[in-house]
Amino acid sequence: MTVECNSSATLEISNLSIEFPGRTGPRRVVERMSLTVAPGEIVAIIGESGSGKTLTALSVLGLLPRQARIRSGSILLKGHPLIGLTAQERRSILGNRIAFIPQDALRALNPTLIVADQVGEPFVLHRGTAWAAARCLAVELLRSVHLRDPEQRAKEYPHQYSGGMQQRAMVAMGLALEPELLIADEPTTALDVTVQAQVLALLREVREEHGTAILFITHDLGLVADFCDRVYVMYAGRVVEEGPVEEIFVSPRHPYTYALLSATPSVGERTPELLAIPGQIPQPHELPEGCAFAPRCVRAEARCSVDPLFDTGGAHRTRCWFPERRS
Amino acid sequence: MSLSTEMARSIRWTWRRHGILSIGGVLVGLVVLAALGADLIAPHSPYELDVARMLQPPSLVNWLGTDEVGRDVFSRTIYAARISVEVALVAVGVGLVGGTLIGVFAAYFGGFVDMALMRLMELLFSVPAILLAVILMASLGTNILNAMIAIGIIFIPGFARLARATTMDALRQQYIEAARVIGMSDIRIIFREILPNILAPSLVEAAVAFAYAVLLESALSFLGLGAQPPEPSWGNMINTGRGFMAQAPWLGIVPGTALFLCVLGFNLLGDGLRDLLDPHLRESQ
Amino acid sequence: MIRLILTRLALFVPTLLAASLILFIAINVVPGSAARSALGIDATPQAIMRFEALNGLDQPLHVQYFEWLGKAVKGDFGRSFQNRVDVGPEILKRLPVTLELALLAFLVANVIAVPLGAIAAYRHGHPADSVITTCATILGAVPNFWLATLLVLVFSLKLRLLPAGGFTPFLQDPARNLTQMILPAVSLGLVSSALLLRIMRASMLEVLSSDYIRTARAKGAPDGTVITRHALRNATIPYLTVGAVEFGFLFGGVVIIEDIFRLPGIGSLVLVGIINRDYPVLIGSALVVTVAVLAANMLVDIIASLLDPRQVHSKSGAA
Repeated sequence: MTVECNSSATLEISNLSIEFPGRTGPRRVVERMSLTVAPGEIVAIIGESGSGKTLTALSVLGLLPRQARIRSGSILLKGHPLIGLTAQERRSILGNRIAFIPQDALRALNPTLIVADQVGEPFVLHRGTAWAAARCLAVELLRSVHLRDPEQRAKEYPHQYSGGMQQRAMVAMGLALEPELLIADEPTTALDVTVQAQVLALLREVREEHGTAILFITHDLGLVADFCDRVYVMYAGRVVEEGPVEEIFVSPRHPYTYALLSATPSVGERTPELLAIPGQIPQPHELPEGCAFAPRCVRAEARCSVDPLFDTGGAHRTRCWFPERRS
Repeated sequence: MSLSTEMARSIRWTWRRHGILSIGGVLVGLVVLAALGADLIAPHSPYELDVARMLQPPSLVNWLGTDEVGRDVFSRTIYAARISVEVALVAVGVGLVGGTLIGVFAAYFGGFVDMALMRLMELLFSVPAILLAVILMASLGTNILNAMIAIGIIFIPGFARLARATTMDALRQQYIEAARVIGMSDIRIIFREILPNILAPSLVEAAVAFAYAVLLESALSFLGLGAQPPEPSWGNMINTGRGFMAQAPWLGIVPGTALFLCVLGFNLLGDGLRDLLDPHLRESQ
Repeated sequence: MIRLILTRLALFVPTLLAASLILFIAINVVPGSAARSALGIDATPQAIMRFEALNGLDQPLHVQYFEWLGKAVKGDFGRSFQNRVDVGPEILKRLPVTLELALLAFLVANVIAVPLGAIAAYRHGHPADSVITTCATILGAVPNFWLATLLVLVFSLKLRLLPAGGFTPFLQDPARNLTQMILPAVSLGLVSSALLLRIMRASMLEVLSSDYIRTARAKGAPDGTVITRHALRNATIPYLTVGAVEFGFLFGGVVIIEDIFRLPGIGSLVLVGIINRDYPVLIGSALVVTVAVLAANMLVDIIASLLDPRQVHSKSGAA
């Protein structure tokens, strides 16, 4: 399949496959994954743990664990390939054009450096700014993420912040150089509901003011409904359904998506817990022939032993031989 | 995959997992062999003087040379292994048994007993080991038996601390509760349920302690506070060798190398055992 | 911060008392040994009794202990049985020698352990790590007194580069002092460095797998910056905490090393006390060595805590 160079898309992943070495041969953990994120779009990847969503995000950053291998596929940032970069090229992009907001902000912050030093570091690394100036810029960044009394907070250490403040500091750090793409890996999972709302509002602001594209990794359906424009549903390393949020939620077509939505008490509510689908996500070396979801699927038939292709459903596509009809 | 690459792969895998243990085992085996079979292996008597042939470099007759009174260095080095192993064995035994019992009792009975015993252990910990060893030897009298006792006493707190920690882990397990419910007495619980389960980490500690015991014994003999001449100990041989470094360096090098290999062997054994038992340790927690 | 230091100090004193008690008991394990050792095997029972009465050795042990402790706190360590010289001033005269040796050995040990341990951790999975770790394992098994003997053989006897012993005060002749201290410091510090290296490596490995290191990399920080700005300071904290114990061992080794290199420090004074069965000298110098070890331990512990902002600054009000 030829890759179209759509340089208007901020992020374009095509047919990405990632594998880990194993005793009996390599284990495929992400299988031919494709997605795009346009400038100013908020795109979600949703799935359970083990679905490959975090690995996809890390592969964009080039921060995969050492044993992981990108088997095939391409990742383009505004048309520029991200795979095969030299270490120096990659370093000039990270923190500069792409920012990363991880899940646990406290652990992602250096306990022995003051927040100003950490938030201001991107300026020093990429723009050659002097530290004193960088710290001033850090204070302004902290102000822009609505941290009260930023001059004082800037001089403090991460452990002195509350959870919400820490995450906002991470956002500030990510925004420092006005990146084109923001990758957020479950940024609100560790926070309680009101703080979650604040952080999400902040991210929405970022999108409004800077036109930043956001790739949002989560397992929380409710969040996706409120916050994102498009969503990719992943299962066992593959995308099984993709499309605009409203369409997916109103008429899910893949049995897995359907089951996800049914398992959630109400779409408006957000729960950290997820599935009540019988069975478990298969391990990479236990993947069945054909459709990965077949063993747990109520609609499965003999045909499902062949891996389904995407139906040509336009913006809303699914990988299933028996998708629900669109209403 | 061909048979040879299959074999190569499995050899490399085994080496990575057990290589350290194997080397350690081999070295320790050699030392124990020397200690047990000294009478059979040593070509000469360790005590036999022959002043006419003193300070001879290594030759076909005396494989590692002779010392300042003509004794065969190789034979003395082998017999010295016996002393080191004996002392270390008794010392580690004393430390292991004494320390483990104290630690288990402290953890099992808790409360005041625990506090009192652990305070006592901390007291012993507060003085540096070599210093304490040296002083104990001075006041008890300088002979091998006292060396065993002194070093053993020094080891007790370490084993006690370990035993206490592992016992506390064990106490949280279900089978202890079960044993109590069926009315097993405390002593039986301790000996039948707890001790077998905390044995593994204590053995790892014992291997490492063995190395340290050998070192301490040698240090004491080096200072003249351990095995007394004419008994050969690596420590006192190194000490004598010091005086003859210029004309007969092998006098100091040979026993030192033996000591080094012995300590290295036990260290590796301990490391290897720890790697082997580590997954099991994690399982039990 | 002050509170942190004070709590550590508060623990120091009881530990010190405990150590003094252990030393006292250790020395008096066999009753009557002091007098008999001082006077010789042929001493008559009357001579022994007179000696004991004269030196307060006939009193019950706990009384002796408190009397001795009371005087020691004031710096009065009694007089040597051998030559009736005041022990206290002798200890004071020898203290700088031991401190210098310990300090230099400490320096040697850390200069080797910290960078090599960090490199080994950073190059985990590469040959460099295996080489460094193997060397550390082998080095750690070398007895320090044997190493001293070998170093003397090579550097003093064969190469004639360094002296085999003796001591000149630093202020008198710095150059000579340092050449005399090189071999002792290396003997003492090199073996310790092996264990410290493994501690540093373990600490660094743990730090390098933390999330904040990933954050630093995600910001585009080059490897050098990741190590120096982000990893090192975090790794040093547990290194010092765990390594404090090893510093204690290092200090204990002065007893042997001072003897080998004929350095007039407190360590060798302990041995003098033992050989001469000179009880006040022995217990006085042993106590001072122990105090030094415990003080060094505490100091390292305090430094480690001060490096950790989580211990120094408490949580402020959240917003």
